[in-house]
Amino acid sequence: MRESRLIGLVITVLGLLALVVLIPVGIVTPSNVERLALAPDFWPNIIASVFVMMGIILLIAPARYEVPSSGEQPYRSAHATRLVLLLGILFGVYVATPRLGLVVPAMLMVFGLSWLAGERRWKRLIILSFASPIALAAFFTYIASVPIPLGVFEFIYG
Amino acid sequence: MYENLIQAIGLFFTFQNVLIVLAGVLIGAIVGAIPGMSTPMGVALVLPFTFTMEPVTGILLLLGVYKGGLYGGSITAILIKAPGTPAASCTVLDGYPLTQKGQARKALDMALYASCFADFVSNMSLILLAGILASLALKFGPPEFFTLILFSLTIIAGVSGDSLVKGIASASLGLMFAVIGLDTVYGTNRFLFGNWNLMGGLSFIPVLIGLFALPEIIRFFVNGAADRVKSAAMRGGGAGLADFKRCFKSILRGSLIGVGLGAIPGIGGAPSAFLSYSEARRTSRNRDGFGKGELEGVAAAEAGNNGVAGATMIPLLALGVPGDVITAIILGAFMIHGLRPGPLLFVENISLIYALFIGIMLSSLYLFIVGKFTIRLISRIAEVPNRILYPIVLLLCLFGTFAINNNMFDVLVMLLMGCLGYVMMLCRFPAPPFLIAFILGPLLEDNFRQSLILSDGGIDILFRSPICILFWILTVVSVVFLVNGRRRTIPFSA
Repeated sequence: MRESRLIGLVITVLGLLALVVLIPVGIVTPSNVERLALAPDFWPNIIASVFVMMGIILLIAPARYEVPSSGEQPYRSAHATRLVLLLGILFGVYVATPRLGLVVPAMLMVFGLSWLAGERRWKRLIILSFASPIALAAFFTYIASVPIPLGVFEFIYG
Repeated sequence: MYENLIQAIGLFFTFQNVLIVLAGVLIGAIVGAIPGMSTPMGVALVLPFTFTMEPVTGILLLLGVYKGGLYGGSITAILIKAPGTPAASCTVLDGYPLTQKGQARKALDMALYASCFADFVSNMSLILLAGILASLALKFGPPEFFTLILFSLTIIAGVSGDSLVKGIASASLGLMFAVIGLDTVYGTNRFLFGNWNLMGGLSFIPVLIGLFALPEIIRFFVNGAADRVKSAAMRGGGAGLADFKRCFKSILRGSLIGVGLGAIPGIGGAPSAFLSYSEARRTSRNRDGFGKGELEGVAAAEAGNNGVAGATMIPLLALGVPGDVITAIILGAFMIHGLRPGPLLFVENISLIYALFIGIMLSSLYLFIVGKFTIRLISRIAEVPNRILYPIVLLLCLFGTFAINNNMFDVLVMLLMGCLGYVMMLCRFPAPPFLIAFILGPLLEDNFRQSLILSDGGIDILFRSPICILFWILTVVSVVFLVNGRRRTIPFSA
């Protein structure tokens, strides 16, 4: 129940933030709008208001509208180091792709993630991380005609 | 009509289309059989591969995955007591005890026969009813569509998991993300903040993959979940005609329950499977055997589960509104291919609809072939350890997302949506309402604003026609029933 209240508080604050800051700043409303309901910010204001209402309900009566959980533990034991490593690998691929192409970062990603998940057979790790990105790049380049940035592998596909 | 049918046959019967439905069913059965991978996740991963295909081919591939996924969930439910899909959890009740008794082969066969029969009945209902519904919907204008979409948003109550409030909050978030881009009436910026990549709004696929595939993968890597257990051997003899005859009543009843519940937005396969199962138990002569390994229980659960497959396509094709998460994804696929399901599609592109019908009917046959001849292969693939499987799934997400517009911005959106999805998962916020609202949001807003423009700002246009009033009543009734139903049927709310 405490957790639901906290979530309710976060939702309420986020909703109010949207109403007071995000919508007025982020939505350009022309001065010649004749009807309020046709204004570009009308719909977002309604949505944000519903969001705030849901937050307030969770804050005031967290248990009333909730079906009891099946007993499965929510993911409290998230291992921070593993999460940081994982996000580091994922966003690393995003940062590295413009320089190296998609294939090499993808190879490193598959290698890193399989290792992170506990795969320690080096032969399997290396084959998997080399073969799968190359196969996908080949599919998208040749069959789907999508220009995948190949980086150092550009010369192979010509 | 015959001309259209001949055109449709020409449109469908290409070597590629005939094979693609088979490939879809096989992929779906594999995805469904892997615990931890859901059918929406499978459809999401396959979607980027359909970009360069013809619309019929691409949509049939997705439909194949959908149908295969519904059946595939039962394989691991029977063999290792791990349902691949929520709907298959009902199959566990009698399927796994049969495996323990050494009759796994019989249970798998019966699951297959019931699935194929129910799928066929459901497909027939789609073919018979969608056209009739679409012809009625031809009279719809923006106010009618607004109230219809509002009604279809009530499915959020059915996919909200254990908290309706969190489901509505999640849907609000989806609606807000759908607002990003240029305003359709005034052309002004909405939440662009100087980033011109956002002018066309957020692409559907990065949002879809981010919400449905990434959180599960992040959870696996963060929690270091255990790899899956090996399947029990498929022992015993198969189910024969006598077994099918004995269970036929339950299969037929389950199929009809599936059709009835599938056509109503927001209910889905799990409630249908449980209702079909409970009806079979109530009326069966072997009711004491239910839960201890009764073949009729497997048949009823699978018939109820697969009976929804074609029926959920009725509101999608006829009215353009999705009945569940997967049909919402398929609606997105239609849009990506420049098509808008609904009554006008029946007028403007009827040959495409007929071609889809042919493919859908063929998928029932393929389901049988896949189930009969590749079940050993599927159960083997389902044993691939997650430490190998998930990095490859992530690779598919990466390439698939990049392929949409050939830019890394979509990849960034996918990663950020994945983080959001993971946070939502931690806080037990359901993702399906977000996605459904994200897809339906622009339609709802556009029809609302078009109605106001038509009426010169008068809100009464939304209450003027009998169709609008009917949908307002249906919306209210649906909300009341769904909310009350949630209080009583906890297992059905997931």
